[in-house]
Amino acid sequence: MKPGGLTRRHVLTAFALLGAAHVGACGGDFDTSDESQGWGARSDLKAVPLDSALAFVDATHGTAFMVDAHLGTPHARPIEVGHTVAKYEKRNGKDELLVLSRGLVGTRDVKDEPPALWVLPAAGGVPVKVPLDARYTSFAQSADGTFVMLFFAETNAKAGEVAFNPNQMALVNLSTPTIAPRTLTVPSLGGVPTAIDFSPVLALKQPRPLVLVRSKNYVTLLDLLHGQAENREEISIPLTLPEDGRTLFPVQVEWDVVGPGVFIRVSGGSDIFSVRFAPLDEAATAVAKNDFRAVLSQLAAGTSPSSMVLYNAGEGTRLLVAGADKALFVIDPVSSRTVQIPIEHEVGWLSVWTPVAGPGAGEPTPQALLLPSKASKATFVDLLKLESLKTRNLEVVNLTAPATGLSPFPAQGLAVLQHMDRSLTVLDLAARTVSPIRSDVGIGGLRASGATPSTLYMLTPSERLGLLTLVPGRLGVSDIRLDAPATEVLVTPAALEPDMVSRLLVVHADNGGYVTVMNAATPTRETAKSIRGFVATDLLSRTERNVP
Amino acid sequence: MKMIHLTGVFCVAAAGVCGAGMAHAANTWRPSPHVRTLQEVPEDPITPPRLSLELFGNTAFVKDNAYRLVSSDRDIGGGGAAAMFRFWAPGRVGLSGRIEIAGEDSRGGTFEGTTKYESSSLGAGLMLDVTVYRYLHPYVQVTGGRSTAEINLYGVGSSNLRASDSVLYGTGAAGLRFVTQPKRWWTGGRALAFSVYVEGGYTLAPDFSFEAKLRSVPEGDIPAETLPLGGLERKRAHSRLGVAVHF
Repeated sequence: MKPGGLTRRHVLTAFALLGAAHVGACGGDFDTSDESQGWGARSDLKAVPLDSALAFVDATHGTAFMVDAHLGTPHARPIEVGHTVAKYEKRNGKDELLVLSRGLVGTRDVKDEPPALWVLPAAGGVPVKVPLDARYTSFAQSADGTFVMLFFAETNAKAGEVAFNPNQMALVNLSTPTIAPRTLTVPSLGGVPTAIDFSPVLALKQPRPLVLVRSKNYVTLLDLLHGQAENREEISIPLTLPEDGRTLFPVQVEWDVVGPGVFIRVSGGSDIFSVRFAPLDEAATAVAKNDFRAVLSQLAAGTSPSSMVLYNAGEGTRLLVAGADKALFVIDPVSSRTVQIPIEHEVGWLSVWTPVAGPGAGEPTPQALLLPSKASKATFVDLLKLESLKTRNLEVVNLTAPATGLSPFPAQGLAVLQHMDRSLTVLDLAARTVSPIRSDVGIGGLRASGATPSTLYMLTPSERLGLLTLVPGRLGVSDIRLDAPATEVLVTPAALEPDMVSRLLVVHADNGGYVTVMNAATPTRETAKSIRGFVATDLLSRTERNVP
Repeated sequence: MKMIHLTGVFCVAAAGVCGAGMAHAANTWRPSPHVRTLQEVPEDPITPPRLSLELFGNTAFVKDNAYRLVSSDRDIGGGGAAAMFRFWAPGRVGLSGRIEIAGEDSRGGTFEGTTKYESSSLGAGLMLDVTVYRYLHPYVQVTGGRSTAEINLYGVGSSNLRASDSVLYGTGAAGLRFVTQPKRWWTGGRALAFSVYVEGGYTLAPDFSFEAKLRSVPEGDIPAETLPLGGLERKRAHSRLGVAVHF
């Protein structure tokens, strides 16, 4: 090439090409159309209403988020818990969240992470981590949230390790200064636990609570003091005889505090099982290694009982049982005497309440509401002298449609029924009147709050949140337009807010986290604020944890 | 991305080297007596170039573990352009003022590539170079300016989030530049020289601190609060490979 052949145009063209190559290499702005999905393969974020905050758990990455509304502004606080979260729920009686993380089973590229139970305060305190000895899959807690029992639930009992004992459990007492889980093993009759129930304090020789472990075809009674104050043995109670081919799953437990005893309703059978705790003398206690003996009996309660409840209307404790039969069964647990009362319909839901005593009125007596799942009726039952007066204590009211759900609000003297067409019926429990509430979009769920006891929040598939004012005789319906359908609601008590103003937090379905905050007393769109995508809060700081 | 950057830079470098090679080939060419050559045209003597334009690619090494959100490894690739003017050149030493614009971007390795990080810097500084050999110019330089970074998180649930921050920075660097001799490449044109260089350096700066907000909020929607994303280190070491043309 001759020197003179390389012109200014050639040189400029070369630089232009180089520049273009560089811009291409740097990438430029890319099309974001393919980026709209999948930021973090994350399981569904389910909201758990606590007292002063909403709790969310990103189970995949092991991060909990507390969303509060201090001073009316939504704020998310991430708290890192262990990986592989198996279960989380509000701690009973506390403004805290219990989280069970199963950790990670170590491999060549994955660092081993032990399992733990986490206690996360909503108000910003220090989280408590309770290390566990096994990768339990579930837990149950006592009514006051003091005791937590961790176990391998039958439905998902895979520990991911070489071997594990599915009947092993760990009892955690959260009231002690140094929390150490106590491992115990349930005697097995061939099954594994399906659920656990804590009793209230029972009138035993030494009053104390017990734990009942439900398993297929048997239950086991555990003593919370076992291995500590006294060496008491677990008591396993088979619900079937060896030659009985039925499969019974305990589905409901009712504790008789005074009896003392427990009633067990099962699926797969028609009997109600009664277990009475008979006290033992000193000599027998030493032999049995317990201060009571479990006495099992079966109570006849129709062909397929669907609900049972204990009540006391001044004549002693009675068990009220209802189900597929068009009859109501009243059982005296001491004598096992059963009184059958015919009713007009089967019973899908059974609710018992004691009305609030009015001024000048006498002592209120317990009432019951029987709701069928197929008939457009509801039956009110006066439980006083029911065994003698029988059908004279019943009053049937007609509904517009069969109910699909029952939400009792005895403090307001109302019960709200849901129907298949997603409309509502409000029953006045005192006047026994029926008030239908219609909906164009359909009411998918109902939420109530102790902070706003006279307001029922109606969740709909539209962007509007419905509000139903629960005042007998003056039912008011209104709604607020939001930007997305509501899936959960929390009303914070004013006492827990720094400015003493109660706040309404509305959760919207969004795996990135989406909450709208309003003033609970006067919820309006104009004063609302939202927080969206809060799972990204402090993400850069949390990256080390989130990327093993 | 980084590989593409280096490929681009090497293309540029190769073009420069080829240009120099062609110049050497041209020196062996003998004109016919009937052809007027460039050498026969009386021209001004070649003066040393004073103005330089550069293109470069660089790799930054992020120590902060937060890199995982925005990059699959600790190396973040980028590139840029610079202009220099040599205003003082007594003997073998030259002092130049320079301005540069640089950028880097990456997609996050953390969450299935749906995180995008972009940063741009605009800076000015001084460069001191020494001619230790005809083709070899080691240099040191300092640059100061402002960096702006932006992180986009796509698909945070139904939301897309954007966060940005801007910080002042200062960089110290040293490098080695291989320069061709200046030459006129077309009749009546200015003498041009080409160079390639390698450089290493370190940047001091405060961390980026990001507050994320929705990329777009439909008009009339309830206002959404911003979210603190956390910080990302801006101070970091870098290596750089570049080419330049000198006028």
